Amino acid sequence: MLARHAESLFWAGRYLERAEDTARILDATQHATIIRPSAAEQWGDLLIVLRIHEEFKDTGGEVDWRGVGNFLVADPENPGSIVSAIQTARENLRSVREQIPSEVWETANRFHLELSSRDLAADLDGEPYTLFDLVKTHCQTISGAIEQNMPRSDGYRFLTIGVLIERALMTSRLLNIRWGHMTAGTFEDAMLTLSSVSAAEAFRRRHQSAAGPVAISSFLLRDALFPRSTLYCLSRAELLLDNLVDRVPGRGRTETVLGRVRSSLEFAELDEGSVDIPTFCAELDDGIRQVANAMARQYFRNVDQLSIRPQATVVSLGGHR
Amino acid sequence: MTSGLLDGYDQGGFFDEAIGEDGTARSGQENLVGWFDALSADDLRYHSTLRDDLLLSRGITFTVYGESQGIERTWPMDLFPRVITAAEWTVLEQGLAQRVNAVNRFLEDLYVGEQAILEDGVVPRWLVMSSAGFEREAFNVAVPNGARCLVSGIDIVRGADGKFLVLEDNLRNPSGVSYVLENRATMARVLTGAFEEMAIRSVDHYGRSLLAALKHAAPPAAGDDPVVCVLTPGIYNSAYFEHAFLARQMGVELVEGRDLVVDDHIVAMRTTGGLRRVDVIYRRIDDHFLDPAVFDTGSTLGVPGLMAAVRAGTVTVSNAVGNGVADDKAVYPYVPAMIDYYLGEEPILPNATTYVLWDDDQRAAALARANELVWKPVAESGGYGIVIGPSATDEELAGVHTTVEADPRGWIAQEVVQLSRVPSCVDGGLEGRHVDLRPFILTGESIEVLPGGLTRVAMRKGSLIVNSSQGGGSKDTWVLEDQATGAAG
Repeated sequence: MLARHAESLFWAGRYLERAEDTARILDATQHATIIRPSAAEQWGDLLIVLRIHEEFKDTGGEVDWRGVGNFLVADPENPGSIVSAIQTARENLRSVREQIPSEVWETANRFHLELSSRDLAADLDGEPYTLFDLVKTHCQTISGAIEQNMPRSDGYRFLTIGVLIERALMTSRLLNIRWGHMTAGTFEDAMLTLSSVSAAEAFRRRHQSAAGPVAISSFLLRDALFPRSTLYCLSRAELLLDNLVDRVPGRGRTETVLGRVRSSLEFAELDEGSVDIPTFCAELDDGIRQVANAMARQYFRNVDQLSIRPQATVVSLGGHR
Repeated sequence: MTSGLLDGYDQGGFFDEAIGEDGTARSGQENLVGWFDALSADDLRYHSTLRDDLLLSRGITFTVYGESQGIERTWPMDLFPRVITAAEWTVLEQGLAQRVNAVNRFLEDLYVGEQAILEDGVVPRWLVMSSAGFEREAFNVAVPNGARCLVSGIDIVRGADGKFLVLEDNLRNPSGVSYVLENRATMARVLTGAFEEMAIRSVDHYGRSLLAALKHAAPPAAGDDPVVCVLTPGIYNSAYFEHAFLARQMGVELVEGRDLVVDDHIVAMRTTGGLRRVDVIYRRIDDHFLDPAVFDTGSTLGVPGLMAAVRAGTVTVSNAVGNGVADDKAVYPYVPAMIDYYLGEEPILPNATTYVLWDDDQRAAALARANELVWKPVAESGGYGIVIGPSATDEELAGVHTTVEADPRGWIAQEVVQLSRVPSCVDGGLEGRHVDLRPFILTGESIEVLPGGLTRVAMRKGSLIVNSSQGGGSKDTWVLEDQATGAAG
C-alpha cells in the first residue's frame, strides 16, 4: 500500500485512541475529585501523563478541573485535546477515504460534526460524565465499524498498530505517574489508577483481595487477557507487523526494536517488587517511541529502498491475517 | 391529474422536462409525477431532511474556491429527478459517441498525424496554434489506441423547442461523475417510493467501465494486468471528493505527486514495501502541473520526469496531455466540421448558435446586441468569467466591449438558450427551475456513454447559471429503459 496512506492510517489510529483514553482518564479523575476533594492534585499529574504539561503552562490556565478539563477537551489550540484529536483523526481518515470502508469514515465524520455542534463549555460545567460517555461511545462506534467492516489488509494493520502504540504508551505513562500515589496512598488511589484505563472491573475479577501497587502495576503492564495492558498491546502490534503483506521481506529495524521492547517487558521480574516501576516505565515509554520512529523510517518514508521493484515480485494483497 | 402539490404548476413558457404543454405528465413520467403530486408540503420537507442527514453523514461534499468558511460544503441535490426517455437517450447517446469519436480523431491528427484538417483549411491553423490548450509537449507522443479523451463530459442543453444542443465540451478533466452515482444512491434511500414502477437504467457500473478503459489504454509492455492509479492534487482540490470516490470505485490507489517517483523513465509509487511500477495514471491535475521539470511552474503537485516517461511510452497518462485545444471555446464552433471531415457524417447533436469574435463582421454584429448574448472566455471552465447579456449591468457590458475588443480570440458569444426546466423543491412546493445535462463518455475498447449524467439545476428563480461553483444544485438523472423492446434503450 501507499506509504503515505499507511502513515495517515497509523496516525488516525493514534489520535482516535488518544481521544478515547483522554475521555477515560478525565472521567476517572473527575469522579475521584468529586467524591474525594483531596484528589485535586491529580490534575497536574494528568497533564504529565498526557505529556502536555509544558503546553498547558503556556496557556496560563489554573491547574484545576475547569482549566485542565477545558484544555484537554475543548481547546482547539491544544493538538492533544479531544476536539483536536478527533479533528486530526478525521483529516487523516479523509485523506485515505478510498482506503477505508465508508462506514468508518461516516462514523468518524459524524463524531466530528457532533463535537463541533455541541456547547462543550456547558457540558463541562454541567454533567461532564455525559460528555465523556458520548466520546467513549462514539470512539467505540468507530472501532466497531473498523473491526466489523474493514478488510484485514495492511491498512487495517497500520491503523490498529497506531491504536495499540498509543494505548501502550498511555498505560505505561499512567503507571509511571501514579506509582508514587499508589505506594504512599490509599485504596482509592489504587482504584483511580485502574479506573483511569477502565481496568477496575477486570482487575477485581483477577485479584479479588490483593490490590497492592505491585499487583496493579503487573496487571496493567502485562496481564495476558486485559486488552489495555502494555504487553497485550505490544504483542498484538508485533503480530500485526509480522503479518504485513506489502513489506520488504526479512526483519527490519521496527521488528527488531519492537521485539526487544516486548521481551524486556514480558520477562522482567515485576512480581517480586524489586523493579523500580517509574524507571521501568520511563524506559518502556522510550522504547515504544523508538518503535514508532523506526516505523516512520521503514514504512512511511521509504528511506532505505530506492530501486523500483520489478512487477514479477509483487505479492498479491491476499487475505491472510 | 395534478390535484396536489403540482396543482397550479406554471411551466412559465419554457420547455418543461416533466410536465407537458397540456399540464399533464409527459409520457413515461406519469407515475413519478403522480407520486410527487400526492405528497404534502410536510412530506416534501421530511424527505428533504432525510436527504440532508444522509448527505451530511456520508460526507458528500464539494468545495467552492474563495470561501473562508471551511473547505467543504454539502452537495446540493434536488429531490425531483430529471427524466430522459429511451428514445431521447438513443439520440443523445449516438450524438455524444459521434462527437467524442471526431474529437479524438482531431487530436490524433493534430499531435501525431499529418495535421490534415489544418492543411485542408477546415480548421484555421492560427486558431489552433494560438490556443492556450495547444501543448507542444504532446507533439509526437503516441497515445495507445488514440484514446486521448478517455473521459469526456459534454454539456447538453435543451431549448424552448425541445431540441438538444451541445453547449460546450470538457475534454481535459471533466468532473461530476461521482455525484451522478451518489445522487442515485441517495435518491434510492430517501425517495424509495418514487422509484416504483419506473424502469431506470443503472449507473453503478461506471467504476468498472472506467477501469476497463484505463487498462485498455496501458502501454503494450505493461502485460495483462496493468497497474492503474488516480493522481490527485490533494484534499484541497475542489474535486478531491470525486478523485477519492473514483479510486475507491475502481479499487486502485489514489496518489499525489509526492507518492510517485520516476527513475530511468519508469514511474513508480512509494509503498510500504518499496517502490512499485505504475502503468496507467488517471490524472486529475491540469497539464501544466503534471511535471515541474517540463512546465517549470514551480508547482509541487506534479512528478518530475513524468513527461519524459510518457514520451518514452512506459506509462500512459489519461486524459492525454494537450486536449485543451479541443475544448477551447473558440475551437468548439468547428466540432461539427470535424464530424463531417473525419467521419463523413452529419452531426447528430448541433452546437448552440455561436459567434467567433476574431471575425470582424461577427464581432461587430455581436457587440451591437451585447445585452442579448452570453459572453464566455474561451479557456475557462466551471462558469467562471461568463457574462449573461440580458441580466448584466451596463458596467459589465461595457467591460465586455473593452475586453473583447482587446482580445477577440479570447472570447465567444452565444445566443441565450432558454434552458428547459424541471419541477424542483422550493419552500415545501414544486416550481420549475432551469437545468442542463453533463453526460460522461468513456473511450475504451469502444465508446461508452454512461446512461444519464449530471443534471445541474439553477436553484435561484429565473437563473440560467447551473454551475455548482456558482450556487447551482443537481438532480438525479433517470434514463428510462426501452419499454417497447424490454432491453436497455
